[in-house]
Amino acid sequence: MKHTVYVKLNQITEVSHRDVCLKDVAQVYCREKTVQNKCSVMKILTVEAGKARRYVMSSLDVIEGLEALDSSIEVSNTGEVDFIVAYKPPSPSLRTWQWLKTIFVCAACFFGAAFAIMTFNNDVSITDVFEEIYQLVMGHESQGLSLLEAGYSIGLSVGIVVFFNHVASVKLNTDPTPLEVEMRLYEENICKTLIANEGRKESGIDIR
Amino acid sequence: MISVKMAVLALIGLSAGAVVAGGIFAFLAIIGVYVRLMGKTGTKKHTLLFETFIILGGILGNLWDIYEFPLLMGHFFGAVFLAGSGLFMGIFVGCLDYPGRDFRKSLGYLRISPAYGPIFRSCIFGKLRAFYGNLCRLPCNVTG
Repeated sequence: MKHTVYVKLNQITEVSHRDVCLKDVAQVYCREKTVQNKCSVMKILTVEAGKARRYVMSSLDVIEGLEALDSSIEVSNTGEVDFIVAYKPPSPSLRTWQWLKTIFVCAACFFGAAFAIMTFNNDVSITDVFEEIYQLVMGHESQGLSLLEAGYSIGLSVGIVVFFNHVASVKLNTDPTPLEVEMRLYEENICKTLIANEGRKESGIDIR
Repeated sequence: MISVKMAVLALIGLSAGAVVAGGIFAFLAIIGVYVRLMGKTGTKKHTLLFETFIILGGILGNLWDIYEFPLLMGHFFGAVFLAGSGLFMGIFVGCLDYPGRDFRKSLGYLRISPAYGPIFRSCIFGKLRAFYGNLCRLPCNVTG
C-alpha cells in the first residue's frame, strides 16, 4: 500500500543546531502516524560547525531522501520548491549590544524623518506658499504665523499617525504597519536572490 | 466673515498637512532605508518602536521648522547635539544612496547636502584620510 506524505517546506528556516531534520524546515503530514514520525526525523542536512552560513536546498533532494526511506512512500510537496536553511551557531545573546543597535536605529529613524520633512518644507518654500494663500484668502498680508501653519502641523501629525497606523504600541486596527510589510518584502527578495544565485552557480551558465 | 475665512485657512492647512504626510512618509517607508537598517542590525522585532520614532521625528521636525522655536542648550551641549544630529542625518542620507539613481531621478525634492554621505561612507571603509579631508569641507559651523 502506498502512503502519501504531504510536505510543506518553509522558504527560510533559522536553526542553531547542527543536525537539521525535516520537521525543522517543514510541516509533515501522513495519514499513517508511524510513517509521518519516521519522515519527520529524517536528517536532511549536517551543518559545518561554528560557521554562520545559509544553505540553499532543493525539494527534490528531500523527496529523494524520503522515498529512499521506504518504497511505500509517495511524497507530495505543497510548499517551496527551493528552500533556505540559515545556520547560526548558538552564541550568548549580548543584551547591551542589542540595545545599542536598537538605539542607533531609533536615532537614525528620528533624525532621518525630521531631516526629510525639514528639507521638504524648505525645498518647496512652504512659508512663501503659506503667505500667498493667506493673502489670497484674507485679503491682507499675514502678521507672522496663522491658523494655516497650525492646521498644517496638525494635519501632518494626523496624517503620519494614520499612515503608520499606530500610536506608540497601540495599533489603530489589525493591519500590519507599512514597515512590517516592507520588512517582509525585503526578506522575501533576499531569499529569492539567494536561491537564484545558487541555481546559477550550479548550472555554470551565465547570461551571455 | 472673518471666522469663515479662518476656517477656510485651517481647512487648507489640515488637508495640505495630511497629503504631505501621506506622500513623504509613504516614500520614506518604501525607499528601503529603514528596512535596510533594520535588516543589517537584526532588530526587526522593534519595528513598532522605530515607527514611533519616525512619527515623532516627522512631527517634531516639522514643528521646529515651521515655528522655529529656539532650542538653546549652551555651547557644549549645542555642539554635541549638532554633531549627533548631523551624524544621524548623514547616516540617513548615506543610506539613501543605496536605492541609487532612480530615487534621485524620480524625486527631486529631497535634494541633499552632498557632504554628509561621503563622510559616513569614508568612516565605514576606514579611509581615515578621506574622512578628515571631508570633515574640513563640512559646510556647517558646529560651534555657531
